[in-house]
Amino acid sequence: MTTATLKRRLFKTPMRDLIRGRVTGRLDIDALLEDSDLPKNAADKVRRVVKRTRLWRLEKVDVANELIAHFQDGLEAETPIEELLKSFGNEKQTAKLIRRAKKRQRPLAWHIFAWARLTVVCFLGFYIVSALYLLTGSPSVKTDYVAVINKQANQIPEDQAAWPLYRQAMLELNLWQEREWDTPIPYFAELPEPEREDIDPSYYEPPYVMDQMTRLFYSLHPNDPGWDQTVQFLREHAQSISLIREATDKTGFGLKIGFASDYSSEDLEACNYHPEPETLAAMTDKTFRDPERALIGIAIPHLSRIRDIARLLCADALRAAEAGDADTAIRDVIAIQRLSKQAEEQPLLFNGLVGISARTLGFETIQDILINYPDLLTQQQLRDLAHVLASTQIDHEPWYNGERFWFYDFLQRTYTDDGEGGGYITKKGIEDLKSYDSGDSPFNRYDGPFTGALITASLPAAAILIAPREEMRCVYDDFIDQAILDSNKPLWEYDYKDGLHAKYDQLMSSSGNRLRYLPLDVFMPALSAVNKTIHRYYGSRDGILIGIALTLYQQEHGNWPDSLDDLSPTYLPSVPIDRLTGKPLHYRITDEGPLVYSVGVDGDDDAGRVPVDTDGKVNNGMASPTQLNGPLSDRLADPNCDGDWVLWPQPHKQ
Amino acid sequence: MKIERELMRGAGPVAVLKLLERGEMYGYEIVKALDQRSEGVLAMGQSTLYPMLYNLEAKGLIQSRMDAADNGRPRKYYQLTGKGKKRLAHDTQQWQAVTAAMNALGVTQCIQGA
Repeated sequence: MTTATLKRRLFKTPMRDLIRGRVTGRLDIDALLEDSDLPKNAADKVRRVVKRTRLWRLEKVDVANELIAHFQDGLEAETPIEELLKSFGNEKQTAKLIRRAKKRQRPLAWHIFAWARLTVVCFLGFYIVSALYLLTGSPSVKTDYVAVINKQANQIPEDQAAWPLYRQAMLELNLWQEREWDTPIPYFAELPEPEREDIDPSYYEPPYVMDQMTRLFYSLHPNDPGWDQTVQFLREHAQSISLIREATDKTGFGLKIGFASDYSSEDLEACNYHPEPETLAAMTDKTFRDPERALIGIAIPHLSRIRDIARLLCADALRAAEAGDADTAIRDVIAIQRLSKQAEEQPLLFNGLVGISARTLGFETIQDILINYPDLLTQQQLRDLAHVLASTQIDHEPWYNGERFWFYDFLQRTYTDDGEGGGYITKKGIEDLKSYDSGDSPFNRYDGPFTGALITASLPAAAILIAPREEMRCVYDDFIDQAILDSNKPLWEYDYKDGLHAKYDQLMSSSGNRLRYLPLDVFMPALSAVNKTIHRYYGSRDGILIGIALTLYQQEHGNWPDSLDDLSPTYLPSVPIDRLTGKPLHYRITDEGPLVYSVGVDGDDDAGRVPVDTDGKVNNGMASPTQLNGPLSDRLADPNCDGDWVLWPQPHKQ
Repeated sequence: MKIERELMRGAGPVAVLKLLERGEMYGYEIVKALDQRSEGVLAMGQSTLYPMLYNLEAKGLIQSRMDAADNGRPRKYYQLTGKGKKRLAHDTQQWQAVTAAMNALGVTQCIQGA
């Protein structure tokens, strides 16, 4: 009998026995060996072999019993112990073979678990090795896209660059220096109390602290409260306004855009752009290959100022018209068109859209002059103006192509480069995507101390799930090509089902593709909205050209024409058509004068009534991209589409 | 004469199955029987026998039971299963074919001659 203590027996009893209330101690191999009376060398051999098998405890007991019995049987057969030990074989090898054989006897569930565990371990091993390999991949920045988009600006001779003159004028005008005023903004002073809600109190309550431009913004038309103060400002700064006009005569804008630190302090001041000192310090002495100098980080502060300059010129044109100074009024409105052309110097959508915005401001001003001062301009001035406007074609394809540069620069800074256009996304790529993407991508679901480690861990998955470089670029290029095709199609030939909008939605309809092409989702601009803006611009220009022709006709005949066809060819080379339908525009003479309109996106004649959206806002033309891209049935059902697109006289933007 | 391990790996299990054909046996008994009946050619120690028995049991060719020996000691006995009998029949045919082929080639004659 074993001499094991109760504690030892308890420890050496299987749980199943304990549950049954039996302290068997049957896992005690030492006790088994003691009870077997085997010679010490045989007992030790059994103990060592059993221990080396590293089997489950019950399995070890089974093996121990078998080996003990074998030795006992041998001894009983009077086989010398030395011979038995000799024939036993190699201990290590025996333990290994027994372990292997015993494991084969284990239940199926254990085998399934073992295989599953092995699979997971192998997968993890492969994954870790892949992550380490992918971690060694780094982007290779080869193209300076900032230089590419500045190509045209770099070619402008110094004496033909407009920016130095604009800059000087802006610094002289000092439009953005905040100061205290004695009076509120007149517009807000006259605004009823309830309508002042959500408006900065400094606009109507002392102390009136604001900059000059803010005050001017609300008094840019002769009927606006405070117009007399605007006139006074324009007169006091006539020299600066003249300098702006002079600048618009230059060949190009001539400002090389770049990062905050690339601009002179005068440039920054003139643009009213005041980056943090740390931003400026961090970006000193860096080459385009530096990760910090990604194209997406460039500063284009002058674009907002271009709109401000256009507003000033609009106000000055109206001031001149009011004063009967036709020459200055004409010069101002033509200057706006030239300024707009200069704004498009960099082939980027931002620039193009600012150019369109400025041109449209100019159209409004021309319309104001023609309606409010119909006899101001001579026939020759009107014809000259019409020629200038007719020649202001916008070249929008470079803007679309310029959008590619943002994406190409992103690719070269976030993907590896195999030299043949291929590559996989790097850790930096995922970090950048995380910082750019505000959507519900997997990268945005966690942000904490382990973000870096998680990004590293996600590299192999990202390399598999996110499209490789070549594919990503091809898909992006296809979309931009489609956008250009869409933009060049007349609206009545445009089928939204074949357009960019539908194709993009189709690609992104699956969650797998949304992840696969996540960079596209981040970088794809709202090109359908741009398309709408371009068509609306041309429609607006058509209206102004017709307005000029109508004014010319009226001046010559003393009455309005019976039909728009009467304007061609004497006052218009050809009468513009309805850009939505391809059919003739509608023309009516009302008590207020002539009315020219397209039937609008709903396709029916509403007698020149402009759509008003659910918020009471006037939506002349196409109010939203969906109106342009959606099926006709949707447009008809949309109350925002119910109305016409009035081209003359165009309602002012609210 | 000791035979090569690879040959033993093929012959050993068939030999054990053949021994168990006549009835159940325990480990030491199998070792002794193999040694005596094969005149030492198929002699194997515990390091070979027990892993082999466990493998055959895992494959369902044999099964074991614990029983007390005459002196009351616990002892594990092995016996053929139905599946084991079929495998033995199949392997016997294979070995007969191999032996016949070797005989035809004169390999086994040479051995006998030697």
